[in-house]
Amino acid sequence: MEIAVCINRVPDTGSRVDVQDGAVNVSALNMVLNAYDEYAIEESVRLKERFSGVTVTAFSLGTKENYDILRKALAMGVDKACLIEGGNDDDSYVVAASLSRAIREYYSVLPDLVFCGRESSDFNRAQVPLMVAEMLGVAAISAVTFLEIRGSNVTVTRETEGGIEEYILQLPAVISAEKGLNVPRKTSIKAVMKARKEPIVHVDGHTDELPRIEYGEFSMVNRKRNCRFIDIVEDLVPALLEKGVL
Amino acid sequence: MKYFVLLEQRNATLSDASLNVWNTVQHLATDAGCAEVYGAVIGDIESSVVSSLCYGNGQVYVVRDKSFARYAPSVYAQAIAELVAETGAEHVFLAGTARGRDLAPRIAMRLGAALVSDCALKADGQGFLKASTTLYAGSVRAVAHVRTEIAVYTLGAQANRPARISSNPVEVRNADAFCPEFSGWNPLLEEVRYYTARRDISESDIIVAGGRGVGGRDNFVLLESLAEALGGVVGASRSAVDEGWRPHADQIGQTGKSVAPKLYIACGISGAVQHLAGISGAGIVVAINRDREAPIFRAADYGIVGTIEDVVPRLEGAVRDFLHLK
Repeated sequence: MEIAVCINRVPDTGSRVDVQDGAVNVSALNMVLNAYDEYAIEESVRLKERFSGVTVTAFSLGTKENYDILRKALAMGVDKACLIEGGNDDDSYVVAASLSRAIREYYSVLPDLVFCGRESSDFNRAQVPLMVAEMLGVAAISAVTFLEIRGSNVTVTRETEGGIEEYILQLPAVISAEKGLNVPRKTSIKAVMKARKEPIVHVDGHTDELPRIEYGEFSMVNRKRNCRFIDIVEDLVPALLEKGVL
Repeated sequence: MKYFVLLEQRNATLSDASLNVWNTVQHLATDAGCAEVYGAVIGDIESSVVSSLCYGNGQVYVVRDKSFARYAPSVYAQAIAELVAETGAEHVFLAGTARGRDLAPRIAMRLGAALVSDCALKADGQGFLKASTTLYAGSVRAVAHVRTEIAVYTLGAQANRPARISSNPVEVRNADAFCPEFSGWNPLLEEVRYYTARRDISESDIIVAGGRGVGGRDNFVLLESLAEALGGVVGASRSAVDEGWRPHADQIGQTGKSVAPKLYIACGISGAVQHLAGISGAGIVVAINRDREAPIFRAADYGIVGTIEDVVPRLEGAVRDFLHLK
């Protein structure tokens, strides 16, 4: 069984983003592996540990700066790591086109499973996994919190408003991982050292597709509200009543 | 310009989230001078239910077929894409629910459309839309310029629920002919298990949320009790979920759910940016925290400095006294 895991490099959610001269200043950001992608890596490595003959390959679109997250995936237990060159990494559609092209280039037949994180923690659009599935022409379920392989089918569950949905899919399929799917392992120093020596394959992901959205008119979001401190707890009730929320 | 709204059917009625989208789009259409608004609902729902819920101008297509009894994402997406093409709509709107977020990319791909996720919209007089969204964990606002002829939007929740635009029920049309062949079952929804006797945090008007400052799993009883008095539900911050005090489904914030209740009471939540990003649509925010300097107070309308054990039961008592008198 072949498993592809698509991973992304994002700003650490704790780092401060600034808008300067109408553009987002990304130079000061500390870049890390997208947290949702850790669930995707962990799940694929667990499948490898449970079943024999599973090969897990991590893919990341970008530049050599992405080596750090690919090495982290190797340290977590994936077998191979590929850097996808080319493509615009701001537009979901172009990213999906590059990923699908690279996956087709790399594999002679489509992999059985393509794992992604639910979304990247910078743009939170949750579009790429489903777009990749449409481009590869395979089944997909997003934001999965439980997964079990049964023969050539996979059973997954996902959370919906007020409940849990259970799906059956036939492989090959694209699955995006939600928090709760598993608890990603910590990497040992030994595994990190070993991952440093692993080769990273470069795959062509250039595409003629054009961005479908361009972002502009950036501004910082101001979440400040004027806080009125209430000294006597009971006084809050008439205040809320006045605002019409009780 | 033609607008198209995908309405979400659940338990033989329309979801509140998608009715909010319908009403929002009705207002946009009026602002834009856009004459034609289409809606569609797929699944087992009576036309009379649809016409009792959807008001304004336009037509709603109801696509009913036994093959739609279970949600098959690829089949749904194909049916919607074909309906959109049939109406000639340029703008397609969905609620940013679990299902909306799952369907939108599939529909956008089939229409060759751009997809703007989790946005707020304004219309100009020509029917063109300006979509703004946030990037970088909700810290940067940006305008999404669409470069395709057709665009699909998912709309974030807002505390101010849009009112129905008129008292005219829409025209409801049968569109069973749009059921595609059910050959592509893959994937297929097998089963839905709804949580019993519990409303989802993303659908509640009042949320009492707890963070690390609640102090432990057992103290959430105090929050449950306050929420019950208010007719609300309990949510949690990431710290409280990571501690194992609450299930992941209750998590509010960037790595959980975005919520837009009318009243949000944050108990023992420090106010990390990732949490604030998830409550940006909230109406009134009340913060209860021991630390007067906690960042949550800067994002709150009302603040109470004190411990959860002291403040929450007293607040509950005051709420119950008020409701008892009413």
